[in-house]
Amino acid sequence: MADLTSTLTITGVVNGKKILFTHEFVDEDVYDAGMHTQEGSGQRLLTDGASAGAITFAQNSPAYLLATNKDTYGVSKLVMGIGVNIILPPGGLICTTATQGMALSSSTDTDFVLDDLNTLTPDTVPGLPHGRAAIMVTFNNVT
Amino acid sequence: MGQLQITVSASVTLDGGAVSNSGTVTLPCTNYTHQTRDFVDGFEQVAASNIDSGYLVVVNTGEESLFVQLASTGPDYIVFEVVAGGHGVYPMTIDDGAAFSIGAVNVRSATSGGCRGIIITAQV
Repeated sequence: MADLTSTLTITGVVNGKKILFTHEFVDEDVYDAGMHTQEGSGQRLLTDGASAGAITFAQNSPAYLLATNKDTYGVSKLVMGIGVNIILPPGGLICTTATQGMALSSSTDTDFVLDDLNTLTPDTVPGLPHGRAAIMVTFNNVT
Repeated sequence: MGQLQITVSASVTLDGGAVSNSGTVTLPCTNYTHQTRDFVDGFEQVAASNIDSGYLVVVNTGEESLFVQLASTGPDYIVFEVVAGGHGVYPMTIDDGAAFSIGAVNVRSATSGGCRGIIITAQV
């Protein structure tokens, strides 16, 4: 077992006000982790094992996701196999956590039993230059 | 007006091998909000449609999960979880396979026991 450390920092100046905010999250008992970089579109990072060329994990769904677009010009699209797409502009990122499932795309207001993230596929956005997605996932003893 | 940088850096070492990632997004920012609130088991609005092209940061300083609901201007919702002690950084460039324009952002805790969170919005 190992500990994941995730550090968040926000800095800048907005409307004359200086901003500095930091937060550290330590997720204990991580027992699997992976990192995948994909330019343009291609391999799935996570899968139930049914797709050729996929990078697979034994667990159903990650407990932590940090995806960044390393490209300074292109745009990446993350296609979650649970009906959620995330567009990452140059330098863009998403960070999220989970204990059961990763996200929910739902037409109801009160249903928040999240769905397992079994596939995560970097993709391109038509008409825009390709980005370079760097995706880190970890799994712990809850998921 | 101004500029904001949001950086997330993560690492874990397993079996002697390190797995890590980091990223910094730089935003032109017209408005920045920071609020600390206590949530219970009913969604409360924390941001409105003016965050549609910005970023949302949720820091959970409590002991149970917070759920972050992105409500579109239509009938759809996307929900994420921020676990106890954790943080989430969400670009509003998100959809559910169809046109998805953010109408509001709502947050609730997992149970009626309640949970404290810090909500930060960066409006582009």
